[in-house]
Amino acid sequence: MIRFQGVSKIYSSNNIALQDVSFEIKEKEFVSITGRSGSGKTTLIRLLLAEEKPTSGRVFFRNQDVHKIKKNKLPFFRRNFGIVFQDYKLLEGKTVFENVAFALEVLGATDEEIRKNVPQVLEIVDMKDKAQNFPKELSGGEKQRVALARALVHRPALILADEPTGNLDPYHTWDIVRLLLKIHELGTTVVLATHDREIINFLQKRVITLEKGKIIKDEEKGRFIL
Amino acid sequence: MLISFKRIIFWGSQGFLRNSGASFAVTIVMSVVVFLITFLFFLRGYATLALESLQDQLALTIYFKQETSEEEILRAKREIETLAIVEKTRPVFQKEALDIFVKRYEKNPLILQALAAVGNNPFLAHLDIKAKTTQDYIKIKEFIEKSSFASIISHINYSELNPVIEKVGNISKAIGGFTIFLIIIFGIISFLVAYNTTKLLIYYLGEEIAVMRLVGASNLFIRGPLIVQNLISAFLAVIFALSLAAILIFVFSPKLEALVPGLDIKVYFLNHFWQIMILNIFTALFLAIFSSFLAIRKYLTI
Repeated sequence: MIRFQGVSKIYSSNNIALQDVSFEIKEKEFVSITGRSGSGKTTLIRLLLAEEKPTSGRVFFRNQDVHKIKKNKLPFFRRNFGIVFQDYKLLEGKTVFENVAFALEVLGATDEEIRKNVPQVLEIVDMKDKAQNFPKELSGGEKQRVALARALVHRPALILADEPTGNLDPYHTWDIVRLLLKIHELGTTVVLATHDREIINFLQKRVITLEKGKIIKDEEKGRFIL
Repeated sequence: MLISFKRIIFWGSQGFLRNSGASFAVTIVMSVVVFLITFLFFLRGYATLALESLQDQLALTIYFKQETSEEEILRAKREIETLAIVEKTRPVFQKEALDIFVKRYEKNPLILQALAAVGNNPFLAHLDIKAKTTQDYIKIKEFIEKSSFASIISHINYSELNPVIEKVGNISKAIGGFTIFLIIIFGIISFLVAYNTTKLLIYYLGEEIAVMRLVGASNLFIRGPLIVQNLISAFLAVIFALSLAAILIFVFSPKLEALVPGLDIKVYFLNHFWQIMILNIFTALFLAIFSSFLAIRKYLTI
């Protein structure tokens, strides 16, 4: 599904984000990418989303070189993903319902489909009661559940979660981890970037460990080694 | 497509209401620009009218000798009217010249007594000539001096008229220069205001646009609502600016009329209402679309 082929991202001679990174992720896998802050986790995700171009190497999604996609086609390409960020990135001017519905609206879903699917997804993340609230009225954990609902609602092939628990307390952290596992069980590929030792060790799934922009370990049922 | 269009209109209207603070600020800055454009339109119109009113009072007058007959005067009139640079002529015969004088001083018995003491009609018949432009008076004067009726002319008032023509010319140049100066100043102000409107939009939209892009929204879905939002601001800006202009015109109209008698700025406003309206709408539309495009251009490259 995803293939990084000798990818390097060099901002300057003393700022090398990724160095000759190669790996593959198969459909329906749950992969954690871990490493210290600045190890290159976020750069890896940004390269996959074609937010940035690699200095060298190629990134493929379903055998398509993502950096050869034309600019005007990028929004359509990104609809393959459901993205969850550490800082939630919700649209502050829209309610919980509207934030989730937005991902469907841009796809051209009908009002009927939206009325049917959005409450279902809000039910999964346990946010149905707060559908009419604005993001500023929610806690961090609630915001992240809304972000997850938005990432899920259009049934993407892949969920990309970049430090989704970074701003959350332990209770809400496990809430999100359980939701990610549930999404994976339902058949969605999940890529989770995190430096949380407990989460990595709890998951017992594949772990790719980065250090200073290089892959130092890639193992099935991996553990946090840093 | 219809569903996208409907959503864009809905999001734009919703965004306008929900971001009321930013919408209000954008509407105010747009109103300022539209008002400045309206003001400039009036200034240009007022200056032109004032100048025309001044020029309208200028005329070259040729005075005929005492014994000149009315027929000779009318022949001179016809000859002068063959010149393309002559706008119109008006002959004033001796009798009429006397009547005008008497009427003017009817409340001044001393002057009328002095006139009676003279005995006969001392006023000369004359011909008032209005040229198409102030530069034409000298040509008309030269034509008259070389004409077949030069011998029946007593004198021409050109020496009195010339300083006035020069003054009007200078005023005209000054007004022209001042108008250009104001256009430049207002142009700079308008650009700065439009630029800052854009900055304002960037300030509160930057993050949202980046999120929309990452969620997979196309340019149409990002730009569309912002344009709708700005169009609502533009519509309100036109109403605000026109209302303010109307209020100011009705308040200051008597004072302006005192400066240039016969020039009613209210009438000018009403006569040019649709012109002003269209100018305002185009300015506001330009501002709305220009600022929307500029504001999100940077974020659409993500």
